[in-house]
Amino acid sequence: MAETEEELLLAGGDADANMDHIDEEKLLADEDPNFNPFQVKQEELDLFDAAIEPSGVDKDVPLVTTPAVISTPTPPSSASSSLGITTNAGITFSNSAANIANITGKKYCCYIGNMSWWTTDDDLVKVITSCGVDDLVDLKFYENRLNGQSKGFCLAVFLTDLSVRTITEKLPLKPVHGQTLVVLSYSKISLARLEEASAKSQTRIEQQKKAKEENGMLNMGTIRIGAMGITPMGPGGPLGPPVQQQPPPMMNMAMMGQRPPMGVQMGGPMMGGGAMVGRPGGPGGPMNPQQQMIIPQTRILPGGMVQMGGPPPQMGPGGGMRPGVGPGGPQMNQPPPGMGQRGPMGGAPPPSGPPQPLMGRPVAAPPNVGGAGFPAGAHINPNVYPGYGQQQEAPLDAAEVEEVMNRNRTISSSAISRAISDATSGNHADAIETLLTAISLIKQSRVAHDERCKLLISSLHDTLSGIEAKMKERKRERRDRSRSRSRERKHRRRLSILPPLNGISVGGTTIDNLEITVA
Amino acid sequence: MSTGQQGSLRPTGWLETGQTALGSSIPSQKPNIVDKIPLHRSVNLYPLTNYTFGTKDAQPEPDHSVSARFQRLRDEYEKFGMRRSVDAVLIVHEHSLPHVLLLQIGSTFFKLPGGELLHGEDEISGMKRILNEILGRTDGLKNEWHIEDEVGNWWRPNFDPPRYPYIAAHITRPKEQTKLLLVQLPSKTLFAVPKNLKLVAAPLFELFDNSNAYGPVISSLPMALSRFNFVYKD
Repeated sequence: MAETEEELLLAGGDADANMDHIDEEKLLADEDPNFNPFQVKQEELDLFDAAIEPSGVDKDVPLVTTPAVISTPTPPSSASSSLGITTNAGITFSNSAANIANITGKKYCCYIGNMSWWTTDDDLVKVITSCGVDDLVDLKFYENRLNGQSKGFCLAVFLTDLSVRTITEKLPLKPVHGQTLVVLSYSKISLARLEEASAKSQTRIEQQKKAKEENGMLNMGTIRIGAMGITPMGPGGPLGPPVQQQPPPMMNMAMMGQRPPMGVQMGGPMMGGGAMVGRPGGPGGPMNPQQQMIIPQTRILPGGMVQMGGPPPQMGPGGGMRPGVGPGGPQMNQPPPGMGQRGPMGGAPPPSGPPQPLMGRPVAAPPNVGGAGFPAGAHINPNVYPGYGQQQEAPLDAAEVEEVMNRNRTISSSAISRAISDATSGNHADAIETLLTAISLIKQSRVAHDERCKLLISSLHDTLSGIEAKMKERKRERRDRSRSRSRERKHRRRLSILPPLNGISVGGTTIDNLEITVA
Repeated sequence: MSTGQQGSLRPTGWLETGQTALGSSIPSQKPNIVDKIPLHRSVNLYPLTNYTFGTKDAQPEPDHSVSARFQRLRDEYEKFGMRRSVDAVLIVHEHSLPHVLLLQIGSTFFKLPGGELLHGEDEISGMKRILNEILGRTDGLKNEWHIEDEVGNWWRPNFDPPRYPYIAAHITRPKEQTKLLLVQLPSKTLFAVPKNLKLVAAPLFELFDNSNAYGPVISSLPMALSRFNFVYKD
């Protein structure tokens, strides 16, 4: 009975804590590992593990919950020796509440918090034992599910109430890894407080922002060498893997397709950081795994002979893997079907040539390099780079200026990349409008007088004139092309054996060749 | 596929006396510093079409649900300590791009051919045994599996699904270690695939950064494999 209650309490506590921190969970995809992960976040589970189910099982059916597993009774003796290490009470160190159920009788719990993320279960056992407590039954660490890092607090389970009281009294006097431990009563409020504390130091977006403000793009948890010494992180300053860092949504859309011209990329460490840190293949995003080649299983004939279907059938339905052989005839201008979903997003330069001259221009403008984005600690001559000096002179609202500047950089770079992609697809009017809007937005901003803004505007102008030039060129080209096309058509009508040219720009030479062939 | 019942030795844990934290990142292995390791590695790959795939009887999964699986992990942990698993990375090439052989279960789940080592079994013979069980031919001839290299280690800190390519700092007793082994295939051979599994060859670009579809272990293979110079043979 007591056992069941304990479980319910535990389960209830966990559940409530997760409800309270639903936002945090969304941000961090983080949750108490014991809080029935199968139901809550089935889709985030290790897919391999789910894959061990027999293939007949419907994966959408909610799986049996973890608590059900917990309630399987096990004699306490086996639990206590589970690791083969001898401690007085036979601690299991399962990092999970599950084993608590294995010990019959009443148990007393408390939370121990304010640990560094590298405080181990054994560190705690050692310090608890040093308090004269010898009936520790279990330690359950709360972890960041995303990366497995400790949140800096855990649930400790004892056999006697006295132990909890001793711990509460003595543990705070014994710092572990330089941190003063905190012992909180076993209640939802305590858990909520601990979660909150860890969430604060953990909220990735805030950390990111802070990190960016402080040092451009240092990732959380990264130890800066040679700068102010290494400060130990607070109670769980758990930090995320850089992979998870994503560029701000706006950048995400704009930057991924095509790289902005270099001149803009140089626009400052912050923006550069935001844009470049993005996941390299990112936008491909969740994809249906449809691109493998299914290997058809050939039958083994009796007697060990293998029916060789011939090499191509092995590849069978994977016809999609062979570009250009598809049913649609030659597809010279298209990426191979397999690549299609990801291809254009991969940050590769646009497939066709037009943007070349556009790209060239901003790069060529040398002042861009100086105007913004100095590496931290670079030696800068204020006479040469007035923009930089200006920033130094106005420390009053420097942060504000920086913020607006960043926004402007974002506007400028996304406008340029959008414009280039529009221009590439022939949509020059839209491209020009985008650029003009960006220019006026930057001009209206409060830091418009800033040298760096002027540089942004000038690179926008460069792009604009590039696109205008391109547009004129394109118009001329189109006229040419329409003329040649009509010629081509004539030929085709006469001799229908000509292969379709399928979008290949028909220059004079091609036509000549065709004419020769025809003749 | 079970962790075997022979032997009753129980690991005494990896912590050295007086220590409360682990002393190396793969504590299950003895530190072995060798100074004559080539900087570059080359591995021969053969086209998918060099291999023939037959079928054999279905292989039942040892566990019927995810919860049953973790209960078994828990039970075995009590008896034997940390579970050790090995997964094989078998690679072929197609269009001059390495493709990793994966077993598909259902329509959306993929796993590397692999399984649990028996208690006390060494990784190499265990890997060969498991590969023979899963993909080994049934015509009496033996498959040739050459374990080329180790490409990664993943750790399960708790009796829970999450696995990480490191042991989190506060963990001293992970519950499972999965070692990924690169297995060199012969230039031509026959595989027999259990009827309940499908074998697919996934190109690296499909796996890359695609943990939504393949999970963190498989989707990180392109990174782990990038250090090899794969030679595209015929």
